[in-house]
Amino acid sequence: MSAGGALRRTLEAALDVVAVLGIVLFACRPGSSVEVPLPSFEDVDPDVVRAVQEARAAVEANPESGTTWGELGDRYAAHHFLDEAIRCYARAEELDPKSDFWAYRLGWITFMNGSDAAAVAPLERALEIVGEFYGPAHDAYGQVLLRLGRIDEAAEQFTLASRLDAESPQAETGLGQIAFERGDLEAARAHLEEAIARDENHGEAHIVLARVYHALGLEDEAREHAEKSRSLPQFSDRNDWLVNPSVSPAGATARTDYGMELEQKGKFDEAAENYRIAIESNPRSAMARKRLARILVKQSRRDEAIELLRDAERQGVSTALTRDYLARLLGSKEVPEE
Amino acid sequence: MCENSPPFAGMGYSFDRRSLALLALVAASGCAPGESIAPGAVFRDVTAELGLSPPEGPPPDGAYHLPEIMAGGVGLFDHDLDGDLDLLHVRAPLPGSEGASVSNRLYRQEADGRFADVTDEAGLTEPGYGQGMAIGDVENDGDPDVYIANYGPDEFYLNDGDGTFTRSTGNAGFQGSMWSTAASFFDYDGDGFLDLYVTHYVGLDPEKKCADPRDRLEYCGPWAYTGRPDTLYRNNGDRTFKDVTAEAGIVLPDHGARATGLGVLCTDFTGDGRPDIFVANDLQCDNLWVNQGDGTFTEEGILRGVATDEFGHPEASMGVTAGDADGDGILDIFVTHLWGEHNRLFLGGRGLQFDDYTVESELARYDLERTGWGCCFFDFDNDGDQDLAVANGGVRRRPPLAGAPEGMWREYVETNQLFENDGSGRFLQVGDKAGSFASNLEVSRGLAFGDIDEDGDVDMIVSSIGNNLRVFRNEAPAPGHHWLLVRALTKGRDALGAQVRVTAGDRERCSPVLPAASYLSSNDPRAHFGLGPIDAIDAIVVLWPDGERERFPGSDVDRVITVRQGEGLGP
Repeated sequence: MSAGGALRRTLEAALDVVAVLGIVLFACRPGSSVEVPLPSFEDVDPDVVRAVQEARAAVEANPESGTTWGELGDRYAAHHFLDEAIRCYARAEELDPKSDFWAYRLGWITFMNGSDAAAVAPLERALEIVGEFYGPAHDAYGQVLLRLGRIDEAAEQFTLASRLDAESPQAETGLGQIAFERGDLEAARAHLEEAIARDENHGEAHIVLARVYHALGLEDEAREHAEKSRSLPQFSDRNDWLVNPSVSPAGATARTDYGMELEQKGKFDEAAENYRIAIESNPRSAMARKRLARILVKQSRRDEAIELLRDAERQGVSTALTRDYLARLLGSKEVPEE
Repeated sequence: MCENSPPFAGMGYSFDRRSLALLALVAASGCAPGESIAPGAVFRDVTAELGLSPPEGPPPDGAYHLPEIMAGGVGLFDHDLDGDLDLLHVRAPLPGSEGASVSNRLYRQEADGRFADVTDEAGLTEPGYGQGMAIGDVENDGDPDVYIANYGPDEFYLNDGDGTFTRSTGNAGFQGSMWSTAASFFDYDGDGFLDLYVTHYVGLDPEKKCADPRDRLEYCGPWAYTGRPDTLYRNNGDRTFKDVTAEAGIVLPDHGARATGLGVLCTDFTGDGRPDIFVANDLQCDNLWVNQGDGTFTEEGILRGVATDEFGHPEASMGVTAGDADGDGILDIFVTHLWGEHNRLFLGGRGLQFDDYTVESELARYDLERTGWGCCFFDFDNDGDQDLAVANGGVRRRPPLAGAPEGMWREYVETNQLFENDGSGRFLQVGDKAGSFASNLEVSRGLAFGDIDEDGDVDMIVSSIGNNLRVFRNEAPAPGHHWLLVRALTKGRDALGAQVRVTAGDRERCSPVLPAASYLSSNDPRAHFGLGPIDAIDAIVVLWPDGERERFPGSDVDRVITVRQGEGLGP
């Protein structure tokens, strides 16, 4: 083989690699397509189709707006077109890179769609923008890291989330889970007791605390928390999103999202109806309860609003959100003008 | 390379097959990280060769009637005592059909290995809306009897010992018409007779319709209904049974409103020698009923860490199996779940709790996109560790997979999965090597395993929606790998719930006698051991269901050994 031939073959081989890399990079480049996602609407309810098409039209009218893409993502997410929602959020983030919101939504929906590892990067981007400010974002990132087995990093996020949001039980539950995983039973107990102090109806905290007490040999306490967990509503909001979207005629999360959309358009009666459906399908839908109560207050039906929130307490499904609003309505806290 | 007519030669560079191969490699590595790909498929679909009818196409469209997507199980057992495994298929009316019941099918394995439909002559003819089954010898006369779990009244058949059965549902005292799913025979009170545990799913309201977030009709989940408490029947020893659920303490605080059982395992999970009960509940906490030794049970699923995921969150549990995933001689539990959740591996420990090993086992890398049902631990390549198979199929619409058939089930079909154990409890998904077991796109449910062709390796049968069956013959090349099948008998019958340990050198392998496992299915009751290069074993130790530990002498390998309680060398 001549030296020239060898050089030529080497160059050709290098070009091959470059070509392949080029193709791969072209195919994988983020947000490279501005085509508006259009899923199959076969058998889909006409109202849902109409709602999605409105958001699509807004994108087509203003394709360089991150907000319109993000709102289309919200619409797709509400109706479980998750792949389409993810593409829209990715485009929204590309167009609006200084906003943490679209990256956060992208990461969270990706996580909810079952892609733990893929959720990490967008959540990290969101946190880079937002900094140490918004507790739920750190909590969400912590949950993703925990599912990936990155326990130390998850603990950092939960610690931060707990500090930023002193009312949230979720981060303390996460810290309790991690301490239990590490075998630090006393620390686990402290975090989980704190989580329950923040929300006495936090089922996951009761379940893990039962295991902690069992490991500590404190059987009475263990069984008490196990029994408490069994007395709580069956499904958490996470399950509502993942696997409980189909209670007729739609899931609590989707109905709540749709109700909020209707509120923004001033359609309060229709919004209220959607919140009622959401509450019926998931009595623990704190957001739906609070939003419905707010509408009732607007409509001068304050007593009904109070009853709605008290009903949550009677059913053992109140949360900090509903309790806080009930306290405001009962006069111990100021009801903000909304 | 220029001789290969480069299609892009005019673009200034060549792009030949080597480049395409490289591209394919890059694409493949991106799509399926960690897949083990090797030439020669391990499992081959031999359904037609064995005289059974493979699916001719997707099932008929369904009517969003929940029971139509829950059925049905498959069972492997020697019904006529001729020494080979026969096949029982519990069937349901086809999706969308108006029918309320159909007959199950019993296939006898003939001398040439083919299966013949003997349903009518065997007398297993009572039609029903079939779901699952339990198989065990309830009268200790040496032949296996059959309990059929139905959506509607269950059925029970006593084996007459000559390949025929006598329907004995009423005479035996089985009553009730709750929606039954999984069932397991086991001797919970140590009286030598097999008792029965039956899980019930929900109280179905057929008029209730559900929709997905796009307001399209969709199958309701268990959240739309109220759960139903399970039932424990005690064998009176005279071919009759008594419902002892309440007196045995199998009672949840909400009286079963959250009991949505789909899977059950009955063996000792706590190390005290008494059989316990693990129940997989759909979307609710799983239960571990711990045998107190006095005829009662206490629920300790939460306390022992097998009720939820690691976050304390209940999941949609369907299928269950037990095996020794990490080779430490202690039984572990594997539970299949809905898409978006992980199938979960709980390692048994010598302490008080199970350890959620899902992430460490690497299984968490593979399962979020599928809905798992039937499952089994077994050593498919006889290399000495327990591998894992999972049958998958959707319960709600998902974006269709490439190659999915047209029609309603397009958005429900999934592929099954085979995982190879690296010997330490870490699992690697087997790619092409799994053959058509892992490439068929169907809505699979039941999965049973056993050495159907008696060649020393474990074969599989999978059922799918539409009363479809597929038999997968194990053709794994395992040169130099040895095996052992142990049939453990007590009172003249299979010792359901026993745990068999085989020791060789410094290693001990554990396998349960646990036919009632997976999803609605029943496996070969013999304990199978892959031994790798080991060509002789030092001892067999059986932990019998009554708590007795008995040692049997070692032997050579590549054979079936029958051990009987009381005939061993002592503890």
